[in-house]
Amino acid sequence: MSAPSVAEADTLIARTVRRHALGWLVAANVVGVWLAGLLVWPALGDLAGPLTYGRWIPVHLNWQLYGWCALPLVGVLMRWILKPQHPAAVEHARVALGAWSVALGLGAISWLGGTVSGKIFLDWHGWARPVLPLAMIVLWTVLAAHVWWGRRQDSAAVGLAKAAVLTGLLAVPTLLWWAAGRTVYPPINVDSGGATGASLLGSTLGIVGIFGLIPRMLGVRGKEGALSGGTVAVFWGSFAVSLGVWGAIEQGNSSHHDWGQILGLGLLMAWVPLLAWWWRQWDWSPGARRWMRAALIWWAVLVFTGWLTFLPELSERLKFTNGLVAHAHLAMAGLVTSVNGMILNQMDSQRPVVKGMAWWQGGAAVMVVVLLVMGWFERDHAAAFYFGAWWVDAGYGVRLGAGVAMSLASMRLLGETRR
Amino acid sequence: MSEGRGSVLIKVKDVVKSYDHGRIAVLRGVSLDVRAGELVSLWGASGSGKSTLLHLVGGLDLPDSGKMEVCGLDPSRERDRLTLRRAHLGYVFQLHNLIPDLTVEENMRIPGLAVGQDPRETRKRVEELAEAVGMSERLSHRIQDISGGERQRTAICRALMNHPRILLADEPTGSLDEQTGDTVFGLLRNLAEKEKIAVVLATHERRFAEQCHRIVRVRNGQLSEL
Repeated sequence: MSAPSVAEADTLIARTVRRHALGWLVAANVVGVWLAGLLVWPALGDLAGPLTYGRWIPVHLNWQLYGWCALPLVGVLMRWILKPQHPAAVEHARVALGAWSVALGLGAISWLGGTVSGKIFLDWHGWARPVLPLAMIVLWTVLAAHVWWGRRQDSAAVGLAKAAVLTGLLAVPTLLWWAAGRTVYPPINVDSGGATGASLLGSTLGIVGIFGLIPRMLGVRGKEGALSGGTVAVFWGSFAVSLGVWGAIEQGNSSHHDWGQILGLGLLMAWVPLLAWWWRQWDWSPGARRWMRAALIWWAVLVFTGWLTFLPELSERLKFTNGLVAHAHLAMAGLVTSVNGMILNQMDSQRPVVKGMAWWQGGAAVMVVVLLVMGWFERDHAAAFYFGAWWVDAGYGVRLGAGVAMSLASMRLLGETRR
Repeated sequence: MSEGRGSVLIKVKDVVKSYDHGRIAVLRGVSLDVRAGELVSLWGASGSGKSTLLHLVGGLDLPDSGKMEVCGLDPSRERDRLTLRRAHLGYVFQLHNLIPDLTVEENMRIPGLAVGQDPRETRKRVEELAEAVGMSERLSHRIQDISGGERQRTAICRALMNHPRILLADEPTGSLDEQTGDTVFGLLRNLAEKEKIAVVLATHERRFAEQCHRIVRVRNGQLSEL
């Protein structure tokens, strides 16, 4: 069989990324529906024996994070770095994505067996602790090989940028392995156990940085051809200023009552219009634009409500409640999923995935609202959640319905990829 | 061994437990039998392995080697642990481990949920237990509004909710003043004697250990009967 053309190879790589990413979205959603069902009918848990709610939770969370949320970004790296001219480029992508998916499968075996670190989203423990770092090393090796093969085709600046990003990524497997340790903790406010404003600002700015780089790395052209130096300077200059603010506020054990933390986190509000303005400078494919509009709405809601719920009193009222779960779904099912839809459609603009979009967005919105309302009443009515008051059961019922709608939507999106 | 007690409910044989990949040996091949109706104290200094032994018997941790049988079940087996926790074991912790947002009554009702207990039966059991420990007037109070002794009495009621055959109490008087500690200990002794529950009490306080039917000293990873 002859090697595919450059365009064919690009498309094949994009579709492989889609199949893996959307496949994990479907799998994680099915687990999510099972978990939502257990909240409505806890007695179902007895049928599953030792595979309790607590065993399935890390499966749902990690498949969403490292499967669905991460793989489209892996796709961005592949689009930027892999050389589709290489006769085995498609195979290389398949090997890297395959290793990643095997790691997620092995992780699930470990979590369902009850072996976890006890740290949310860093559950890799025991024999499973190195599996995802190893898959990351496989991916890194593939990317590094392509940077080497393509060194004569890239300009010096682009080659340098790729080498710099690869050097940074080299630290990720080790960091993941290290952070999963039971004795390693992130900066938190030790009085409340919550994240500090500085840690929330820093991590969100990291995401803003990735959002800023996505169009360039995907090879999207500027609307008017090349972006002007002024446009680039405004965006990245604002980013540098934000990083400066983050560096200036207290990084250690600071309370959410400190004005520095509150105002520092409030800085993210400026990034709502800034990100919208930046993304609109690029000539996205029609399929990508639809998901982009949704992403920007979710981004605005996430930043505003995230800041509100950090404030004293509101923070105390909502922490460790369904309100926090609402925030997590707002971030991952709303924002990240929409950004990923944008990425996947841009990577394969000839065959956009759109048919499940309305169901997905509607389901996610209902889920977020229901969880937020339940979270609001949870502190004053804790017993209702333990002993199953009618309104709690009704809320969980609606959540289950929203989860089913989202799962069906994800299956439809996957089906569009495979058609 | 005490005479006139019931059948053996806890059998521990040559159990070894270590931490940090074997570097910290906590239990070095210990054996212990406990019968129904016995009040047994595990007495030893902090860090001697009392809590570790209770955790193993209660299925909260797994041994490195050795055999255990609790109410005819093996707490190191997952399926058996489920039955043990729901039906046969009650656990009382030093710091109570109650749910602060719930009332005294609601905390007591929690174990009933796990076994799908009829609400009327749960209500009756709550009243019966609250009466026995003098908490009837406090049922509607939230945990943060009651004293340390009342919290521990609530925790004991919660542990007894499903009529367990064994009660494991890990330093139940450790956080209490002398008088309240005496009250809680008296309650545990009554339970063992009147309801024929096997009570295993981990304590570092000699005065409580000496009032039990048997004193098992825990030292250097070994058990010795005094």
